[in-house]
Amino acid sequence: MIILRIATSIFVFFAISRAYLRFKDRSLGATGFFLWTSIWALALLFIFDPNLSSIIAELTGLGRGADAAFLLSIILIFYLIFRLYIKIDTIDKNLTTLVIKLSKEQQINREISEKTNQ
Amino acid sequence: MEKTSKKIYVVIPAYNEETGIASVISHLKDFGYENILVVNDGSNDHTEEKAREAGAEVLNQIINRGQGAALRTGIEYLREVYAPDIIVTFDADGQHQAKDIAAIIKPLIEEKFDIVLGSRFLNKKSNAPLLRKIVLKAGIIFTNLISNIKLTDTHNGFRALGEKAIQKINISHRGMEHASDIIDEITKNKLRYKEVPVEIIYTDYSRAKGQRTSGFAKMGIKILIKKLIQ
Repeated sequence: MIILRIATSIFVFFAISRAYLRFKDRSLGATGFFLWTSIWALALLFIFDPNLSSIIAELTGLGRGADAAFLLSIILIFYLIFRLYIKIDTIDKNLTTLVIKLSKEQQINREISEKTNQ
Repeated sequence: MEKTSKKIYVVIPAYNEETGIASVISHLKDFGYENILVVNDGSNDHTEEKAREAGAEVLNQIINRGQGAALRTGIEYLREVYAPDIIVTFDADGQHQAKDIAAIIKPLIEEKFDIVLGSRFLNKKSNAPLLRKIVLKAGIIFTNLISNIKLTDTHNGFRALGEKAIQKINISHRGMEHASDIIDEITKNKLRYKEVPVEIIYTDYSRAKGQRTSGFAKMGIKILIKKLIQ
């Protein structure tokens, strides 16, 4: 159990440091940084005090603490996948708009230069 | 081509079509359609050169973005530069027949429709393979259900857009799903639409180039996800 706690703690601190670096170089906003830090801090709490998950389970009526942690993890993963999908979709759409704009401008410039050379 | 004062443009999205693009262009020219715009969708062969040599104007997309994006490029460019009365969308693989253009633009000129859609199922001329026919029919039921419209062929790339459709239609999907976008735009903008029978000729070349039958399921999922997010 101690080895697991140490390994998890190292991983959590590594994850928080990555989030901090992204926050520092402004690729992650303050809300995003707060959210990620909270998630990882919560994971750390669950590892060091497993009873905490039982308290949540009792409060939410989910039975065992492990069930509550499992359900929360699934909800979080789904949410993150959804966010990623939206982000990728936005980038994809912006890329298409850029390609369309470029191709139109390229042709207009080509026609202008052809007319000038005539 | 019948005589008309309308400015008619044909837009052809093309990706790696060096083998067939020149014959498609000359086929259109034989029928009197001189205003041809090819949107070269990031091809890595000689599609651009072949299309220029055949006498079409060519727009180049620097990377492949899909048929929907290529059509959007073509329609936007024509709208901004030439202000056409009619835009015909035509495939680059030789499936569509230039002889059908007269029938597809007629309702725009004479009957005050905003958009005319070609249908391969209104007559029995098209030689669609059985599996393709089944998948297309399933696609028609699916699209009619989610788009609240009644059409006999929802994924036919052969269409004619009148002035209102040229101004209003906004293609948001970059791939083959753009066909559903166009149908959604018809309902959203209350465009007056009509279907006319067209002949689609399936050849080994067009089957190799065209949308794979398995791709239709993927397309359906994409359309559903878009509907869920919006």
